[in-house]
Amino acid sequence: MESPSKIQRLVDAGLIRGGHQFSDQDLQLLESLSEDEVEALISVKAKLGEDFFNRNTDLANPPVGIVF
Amino acid sequence: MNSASHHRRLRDKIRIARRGLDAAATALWTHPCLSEIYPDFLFRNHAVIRASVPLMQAAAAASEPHVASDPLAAGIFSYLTHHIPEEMHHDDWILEDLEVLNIPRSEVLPRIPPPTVAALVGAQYYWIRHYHPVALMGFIAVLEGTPPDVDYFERVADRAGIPREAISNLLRHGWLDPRHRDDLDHALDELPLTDDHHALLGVSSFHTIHLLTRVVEEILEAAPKRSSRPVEAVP
Repeated sequence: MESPSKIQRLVDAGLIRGGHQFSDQDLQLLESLSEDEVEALISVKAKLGEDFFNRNTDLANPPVGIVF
Repeated sequence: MNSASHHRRLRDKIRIARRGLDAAATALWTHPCLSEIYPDFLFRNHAVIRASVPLMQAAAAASEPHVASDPLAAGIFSYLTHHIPEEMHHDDWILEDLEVLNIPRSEVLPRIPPPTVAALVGAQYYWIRHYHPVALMGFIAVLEGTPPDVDYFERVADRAGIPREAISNLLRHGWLDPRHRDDLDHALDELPLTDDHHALLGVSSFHTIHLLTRVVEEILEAAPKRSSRPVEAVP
């Protein structure tokens, strides 16, 4: 049996909502992740894609403010 | 084989994984009780920043013995020895901001740093000492990846009634970090990184994003519950 794609694994883990439309570039990026990176994303329960979040700003990346 | 530059490969991974962090940051800076939770933000930010230079020193020390034989170790060592002086004493800026708010450092320094911050920073020590110091570049890439926007934070402070003197840390990083981000990107592109190194950078950055998000969420969870309505968006 063929193993599921990395994106399907992320969907199955609840990190991507089924049907979320990623750009081709992001689909390629997600499929290019290593096994360790996929496991890390699943481990930290990272939510991927915009569908999970209501953003109250127009900034693409609002500054976090916690700096180095 | 990925043909994108090293820094682009890492930045793209960070971009796709940081939506939760962006949402938490937005909730923080538009919080209706921001002036009340801002000191807690400064305390947690200080707990992170006080480790910046020691972390880089640890990674430089782990790289130095291999400089002559390993071009990757040499590149990391070169970047860090240049960057360490640029980051020294930035933790003092936060203590000064707290003093503006009448919270003396004698009250801040004895507090136990939160476990979330210890986990955030502690993971880097683990990877530096027990796997490879290049992991730290993933941590730095996240923390210096979205420099504070000076205009944005001045508006946030004015709206929340926080004296601008108490956001000096954010303003100073807003002026400095765009160059630091570009320096890191340039350093990454010069390193002889393999796919395995990129995987470590990805894991390190995902872990950093996750725990930074938790740091912000913990501030929000401890916030007064008088109003749950965020204030008007800050463009």
